[in-house]
Amino acid sequence: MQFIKHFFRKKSRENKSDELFKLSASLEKNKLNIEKLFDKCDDFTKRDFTMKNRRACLFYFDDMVSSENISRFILDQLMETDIDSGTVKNAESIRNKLIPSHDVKISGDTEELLKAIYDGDCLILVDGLDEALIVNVRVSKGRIVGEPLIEVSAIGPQEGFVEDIHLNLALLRKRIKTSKYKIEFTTKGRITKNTFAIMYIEGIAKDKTVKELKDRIDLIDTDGFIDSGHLRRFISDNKLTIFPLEIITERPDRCVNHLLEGRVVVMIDGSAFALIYPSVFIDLLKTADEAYMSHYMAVFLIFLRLVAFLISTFGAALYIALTVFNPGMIPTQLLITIASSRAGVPFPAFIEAFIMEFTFEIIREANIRIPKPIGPSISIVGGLVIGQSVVQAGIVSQAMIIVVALTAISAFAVPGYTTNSALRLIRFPFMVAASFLGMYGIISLFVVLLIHMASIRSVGVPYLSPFAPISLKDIQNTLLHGPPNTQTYRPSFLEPVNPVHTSAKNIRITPERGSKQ
Amino acid sequence: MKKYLVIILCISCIFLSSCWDSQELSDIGLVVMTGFDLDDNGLDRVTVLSVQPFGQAQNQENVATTWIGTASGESAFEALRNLRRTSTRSLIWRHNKIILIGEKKAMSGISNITDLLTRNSEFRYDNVIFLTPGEAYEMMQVPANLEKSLFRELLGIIEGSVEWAKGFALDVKDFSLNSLSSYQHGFVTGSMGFYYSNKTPFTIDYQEYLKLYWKDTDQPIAYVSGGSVIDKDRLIGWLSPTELRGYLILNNKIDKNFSIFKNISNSGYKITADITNVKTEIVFPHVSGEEIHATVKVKAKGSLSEIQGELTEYDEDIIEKIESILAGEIASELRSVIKRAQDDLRTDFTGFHKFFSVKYPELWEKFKGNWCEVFCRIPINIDVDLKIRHQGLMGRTFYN
Repeated sequence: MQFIKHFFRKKSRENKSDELFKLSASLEKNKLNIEKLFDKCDDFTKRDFTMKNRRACLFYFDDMVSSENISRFILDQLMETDIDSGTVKNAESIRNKLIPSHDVKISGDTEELLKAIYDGDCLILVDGLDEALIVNVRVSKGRIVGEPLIEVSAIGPQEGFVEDIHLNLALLRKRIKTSKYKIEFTTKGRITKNTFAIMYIEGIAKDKTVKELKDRIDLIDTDGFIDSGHLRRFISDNKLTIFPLEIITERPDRCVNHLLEGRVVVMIDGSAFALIYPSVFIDLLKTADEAYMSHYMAVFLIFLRLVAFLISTFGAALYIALTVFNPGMIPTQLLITIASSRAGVPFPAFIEAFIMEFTFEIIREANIRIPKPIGPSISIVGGLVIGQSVVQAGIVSQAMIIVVALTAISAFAVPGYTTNSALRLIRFPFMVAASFLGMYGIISLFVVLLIHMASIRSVGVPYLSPFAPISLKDIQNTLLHGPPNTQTYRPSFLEPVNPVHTSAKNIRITPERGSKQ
Repeated sequence: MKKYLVIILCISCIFLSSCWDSQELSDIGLVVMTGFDLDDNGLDRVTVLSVQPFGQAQNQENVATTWIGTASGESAFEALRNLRRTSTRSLIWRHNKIILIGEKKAMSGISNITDLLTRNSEFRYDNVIFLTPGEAYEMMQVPANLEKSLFRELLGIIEGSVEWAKGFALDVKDFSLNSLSSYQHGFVTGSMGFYYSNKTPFTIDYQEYLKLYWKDTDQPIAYVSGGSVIDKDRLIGWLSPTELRGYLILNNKIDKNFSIFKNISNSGYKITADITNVKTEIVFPHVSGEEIHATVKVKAKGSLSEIQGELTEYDEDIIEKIESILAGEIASELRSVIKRAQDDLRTDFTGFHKFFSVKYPELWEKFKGNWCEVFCRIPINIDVDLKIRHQGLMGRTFYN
């Protein structure tokens, strides 16, 4: 019994990352402790100096700080000879009088000090003080804000998130100018200590959703997170589903749009993608662009993507089912054309379809992995050699090539990388079902898929909202993109605290107001 | 436990179906035309026109070959099955378009074919049924002229027969409805055939024209025109194209328009009019006991499309005169088909019984048994009301 207790205690201690020391008034002792802690961390830098006859020391990670700022705000000031000796007696006065930097904190808590060092702050220890000064001398070393690489928009803002969370937060904060817009930080990851930001607008977002997300992140106990894509696996509602249960975006304008709807954005330091919760199926078919277009175009595009989704899911399966089981359903002339292109092909339709779909997946994968300079060779080998010769050699029919090309292109028409990677996989079970049971198989599997989709939830919101459970108001307000006076409500499936986002009264331009201009 | 039960139930219902009859497209032949005959031994013989897709040569259009197969059997269906003896592919009838019945078979009774067509799910209701003078087997060997296969050529002609109003097609649904015993007072279905001629229509460019060796030899040419009258389940007579048009007018089956020609010899001009909007109604102005009088009321509109010779004057009166002459011409066409029905074939394929049974249901019960005899005695009046709405783009004639 004692042993088990001991075992568990030991384990729980192991989860605490570093052996912490206590800050003392002796600089020598503190230095020793810190040096021991950062033994063999060669990028860790220590700088001794004397401040009005008191010894002091700077600690920082050389690569994460601005050396110019250190010289200007710290060394330049503190090594000045004509400082009043009373000033250096306590940390408070040093901060208030000597360091002209915008962000200076005083702390005796070792954990906080270490966190500051990891974040790229500079630590000042002064002999005789058991508190340290934390000076923000960070410098962002990474990409600068550029155009979004994956979610391209024609006329929307051309800013995309980068890997630095503080830059990303700035992109959002400058778009939402209210104190109701809350950003809450937490730190997670035993080793990596990632900074998480949970963003929402108070008074719009449902409190329970925010709390639920915070709880989910709190419950994670792992070594670290590499990316937001990694994080979403931990906090997703259904860990087995093929559908993405969150929106992944690199566009700040899209985040703002969803924040205003009452959703919650989660960001993680080191990732250029934000996660937005909760998300429903139709979000897969939407992009930021719809908000910037005429509503006719927006509805058309959503409809187009829905059709593309259906084609890429069912295209190959329907081809198999119709040609193998129900040739009577194809118009005679088309059937003759298909059949004569099929004649001489040595494989059954399913094998043929499978070969081509699989080949396409290989080409697509190769295209992502191949170094950019030799990229074009893929399209030559993949497109010309395989595509054309396979038909000329009579291994695959032309009709099949058309079907594969159509399903592939359709999959790309559905926005979002996570979405169309889901589509790549759904296609195959449908093909198998079609090859065994024809149309009946496709429909059976579709029913199963619908049951699955109806059963999953994203942070408590049914995935098929607003269709199941049906809400005409939500369909009108989220999907149809009508004129502004028809779109005054936030999606009710998100259960926002304040359901109305637009006052419908003053939208209509009266003739007097319109014509006098 | 309950959850697993539901899952197992769901999965098991997938396997309830009997859809395992998958057939690769390369293994099937698409039958597009089926002919029924009686062979010399009195057995049922079927002939099929089947499209067999045969791959594509490099950089060429897809090639499909038409296969004509024939087989006999004790019954029509057995004959269809016997086709497999010589066919390299399994034949499917889901794409069948045309059903052709030979004269000999039609004379000996076609009830088994009607039954087969309605009982068997592979034959669709939109198949069109034709009778042919001579053998279906021979008819189906007529080579296609312009299209790739005879069936496409025939389908094109059938579609055109609506404009022409002298050809006619009955689909399986109507055919079987007409064959029902309660309607058995004779009905008309279309007929097709072929003739030999050296004036073959062909489409060809000049280079190929020079190579033609058969130019002056007789070639078979397929046509769709006229009709055939079926009483009970037997063919009893053929209708000429003009008689068929009379039948179509009587039965309100003219969809588009038709042209009618009249040579007015004493005034010295010939006139052709395009007739549209034909509405026909059959009324019985006098019904008492055995005595029944019928009147056919036809309302039609028309436009002048061609005038040969000299019109002495060109005004309202002459239009009225033309109207009455052409109306008389239509009436005489109707009279000829009614005469054919009453005196020659002695069956009411013209459809008077349909109007009578609706109007006088009690009397109909009485006459139902021997309606054909009653019908043959009915004096029939024909009243055609024709209005010439347009005189064409030209107001006057050339020689005036």
